[in-house]
Parts: sequence; C-alpha cells; structure tokens
Amino acid sequence: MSVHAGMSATEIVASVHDGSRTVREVLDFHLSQIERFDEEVKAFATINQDLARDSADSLDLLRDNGARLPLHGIPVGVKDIIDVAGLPTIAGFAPYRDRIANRDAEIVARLKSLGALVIGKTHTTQFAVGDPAPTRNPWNLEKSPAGSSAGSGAAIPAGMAPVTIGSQTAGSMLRPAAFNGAVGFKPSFGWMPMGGVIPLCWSLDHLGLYAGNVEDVSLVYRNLAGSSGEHDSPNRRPRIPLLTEYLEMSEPYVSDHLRQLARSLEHEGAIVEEVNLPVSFQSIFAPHQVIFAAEMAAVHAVSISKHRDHYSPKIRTGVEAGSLIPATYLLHAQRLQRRLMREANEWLGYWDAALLPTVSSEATDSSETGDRRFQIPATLLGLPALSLPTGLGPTGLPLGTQVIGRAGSETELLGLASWITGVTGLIGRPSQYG
Amino acid sequence: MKVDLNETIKERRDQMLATARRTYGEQRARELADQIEHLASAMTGVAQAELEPRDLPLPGPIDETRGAQ
Repeated sequence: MSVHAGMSATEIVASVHDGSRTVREVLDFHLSQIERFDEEVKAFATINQDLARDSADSLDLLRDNGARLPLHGIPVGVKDIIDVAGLPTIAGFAPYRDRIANRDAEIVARLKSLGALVIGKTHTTQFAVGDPAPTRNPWNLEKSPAGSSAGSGAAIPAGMAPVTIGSQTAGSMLRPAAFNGAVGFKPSFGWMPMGGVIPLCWSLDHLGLYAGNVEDVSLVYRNLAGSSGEHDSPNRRPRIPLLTEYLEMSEPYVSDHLRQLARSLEHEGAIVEEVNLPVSFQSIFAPHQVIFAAEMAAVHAVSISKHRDHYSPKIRTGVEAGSLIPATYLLHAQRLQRRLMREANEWLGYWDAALLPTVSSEATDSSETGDRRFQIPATLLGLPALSLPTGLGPTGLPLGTQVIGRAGSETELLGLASWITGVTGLIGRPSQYG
Repeated sequence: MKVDLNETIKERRDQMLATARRTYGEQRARELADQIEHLASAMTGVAQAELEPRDLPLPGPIDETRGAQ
C-alpha cells in the first residue's frame, strides 16, 4: 500500500501493525518529501538518512518478529534544542555545530522505545528565543512560520513528518501551530523530564507535540505520558468560557472567527459564555517577563561571556538586560506565578476549558516571529493548551483556536479538542505539498 | 501615601541603566534602554501585587535529569 503526504500517525501505526506497509516505506516517503520541498521550506536543520534507515530496518525486523509497538514506524522531527544520539544539537548557534549528542533526551528515548523513528532535527530560532529561524511558512513562503519551534511547526503542513516535537517558554509551541496550520499541544508544566534539552528558563520550559489532527497528538501524548485508554469524550454539554479580553486585543477577523466558532459549538450543545479570566492579561504578562529575562540571563551567563559575537541580537539584548534584574524581583515574580496558578486552576474548575485565539493575527512577515502575548497565560500558569487550525484569515493563512484546561486535565482537554474539531473541521494542508 | 507608578518605573529604569553603563559601557547601555524600560515596567507591576504567606516561589518538580549534555 502506498504512503501519501499528510498520512496520519494513527494510520501509519495501523498499517505497520497489519503489515500493509513497512517502516522503511513510510520513512522513504517522508525523506523524499523533505528532499522535494525542504530547500524552500527549510524545516530541517539536520537529517542523517543512513541512521534513520538503520532504525527503520530495525523496527521492521521487530515487527516481523511479532512486536507491535504503540507508535510503530511514526517518523518524528525533533526540535534542534533536544538531544538525539548521533546527531548534533546546534540550537541555531554556530559554536554548537559539531556538538554531537551521545545519548537521547528523555523524550526522544521514550519515543524510540515506543516504536517512533527520528527522521531528523528541525530548525529553531537561536536557543529558542526570538530571532527568526531560516524556516519559511509552507502556506506562503514570504510569511513567518513563527518561532521558536519554526521547523517543527512547518514540517507538518509540508507533509515531511506526521509528528514533530517542539518546546515553549513563552509561545513557541502554540504560535507556530497557529501560523503553520498544525495542531499543537503543550501539556502541563513538568509533564516530561527535561533531560537532554537545552534549557531557556527552568521554571517556564515545556515540551510539546505537533501533528495534523487531535487524534495523532492524543496517541503520542498518551503513550509518552503513560496514560491508559482513549482521550475522554465530553459526556455532557461542555461549559466553555470565551475570553473577552483576548478577543478585544485581536484583529477583528480573528475575534469574528472565534465568535462564529463559538456559535457552532453552542449549536451542537456547548454552553459558551464571554467572560474574563479572574486575572488580567497585564497581571500575567509582567511576572512572565521578569522570570523569562532573569532565568534566561542566568542560563546564558557563562556562555555569552565566551561567545558574545555568536549570539543573535534579541537573545543577546535579553540576556544582558535580564542580568540587571535584582533577585528580589525574580522571587516576587515567582511567588506571583504561584498565586496566579492557584487562582486560575480554581476558576477553571468550574469550566471544561477556556477558548481564546492562539495569536492576535494571521502569520506576520518573515522578519519577525509574531505576537506571543496570547500564548503566555498557558505558559506562566503551567496549564495544558492546544492550538487548533480552525480557519483561514483574509489572506488565506491559517487561524488558530486555543483551548486551555486545568493543570493535569490533558485527557479531558484532548477529548474536548477532538469534539471541537469534529464540529468545526480542520483547514487541511496547502495543496502544493501533495 | 499614593505611589506614583510612572515615577517608580522611571526610578527603577534609571537604576538599571546606571548599572548597564557600568557593566557594558555607555553605547551598549543606550542600545539596551528600550528593553530595560520594558523590564522596569514589568518589575513595578510585579512589585505591586499583593501576596499571601502561602505564595512561595515555585521550585518546580524535582527533575534530576534536567539540562543538555
């Protein structure tokens, strides 16, 4: 049976299990897709075809010997701040070009043990901060794929991998999902050990997943997190607050899209109310800025003194200014983070999940990575959040709908997201990538 | 006594700029001025928040494996 672009991870696993496709066939198709299109999209920083083919052959041998692994044969792209044994972890930073990892990051080791196959490393902005990566948006090559997980976000609509891994410290998972029209999922803070991941801010860094649909994200998440069974389906009328403050901060076409989507959900039985979070956006943004800048400065203090000229402008400015923050302010911001987490989780206890735009606009020009403000609440508060590609903006670029749940409510949130996309549908992929 | 937030931000910004001049020199301190202004505003916002004794700094989950090789 042939392999096609945009084939779902769920379909790949089923076909490998029943023997209608080999892992090698699945891999070779995705490598050919990268060969055809990555010169223009630039999603991948490093590919080692021999290493990937050896892994594919080993997985086929395992299958021939009777093994049926939960993620058997899924090609995965891994953001290039995450170690994969045998490949460099460059992080967009020239001095790391030859730094080959000798063992896998925890998330990569788990993916491999479940039968997934690393196809290569995806481009990131330097150290996952704001200077644009070389990646281009598959929907319009002149537009931004966002950042920092630019390559992981763009690889999905370009049909180069059915699943990719990214990270988020401000908005780096959800914003690339919105700009590139992928489903992006950032689980709760601390869901996955961060071993083998270059840190940016210890108390804000999250790992996350991209795929073409919610079911694929759910399949990979449940297996990685060791949760059993399917994601939960809403078994009553879901209660959903639509966050007014963020609609007012959006472009009119974005807020119109969300309100129209909310009406569709109401028509199918949801109870939707326009309300505000119990804490204002400014109350969330300020502690995030302080923690982000101070921790980033601490993480890079030694390295920047050795390699100052190799640092890109935004991260260099951020590190130098962040190092001027007195410790008392950092501690105050961390205490405020804790209080806001408690308040948000108490408030979300009444609802199934909150709805807001992922970004205030469509993809911006490629000279910047877009507006990170709307992704910061889920990051600072450590809450699980998805971005769902539910519509197209005035210039035909994807719009993302963000769904945020209580800490630890991943399976319920995935169930709700599946229900939402069942009602609204997804936008699909650009036709030129097959 | 009512605190003038704008004055507080300016005071904090000026303190940080003075440190930046000593640390990075006059030219670089000028280049960092916008970023310092943003941070001074955020720090002032954070310092305004009322906290309870139970609001301790979040240490995050214990994770012995953190960090790249």
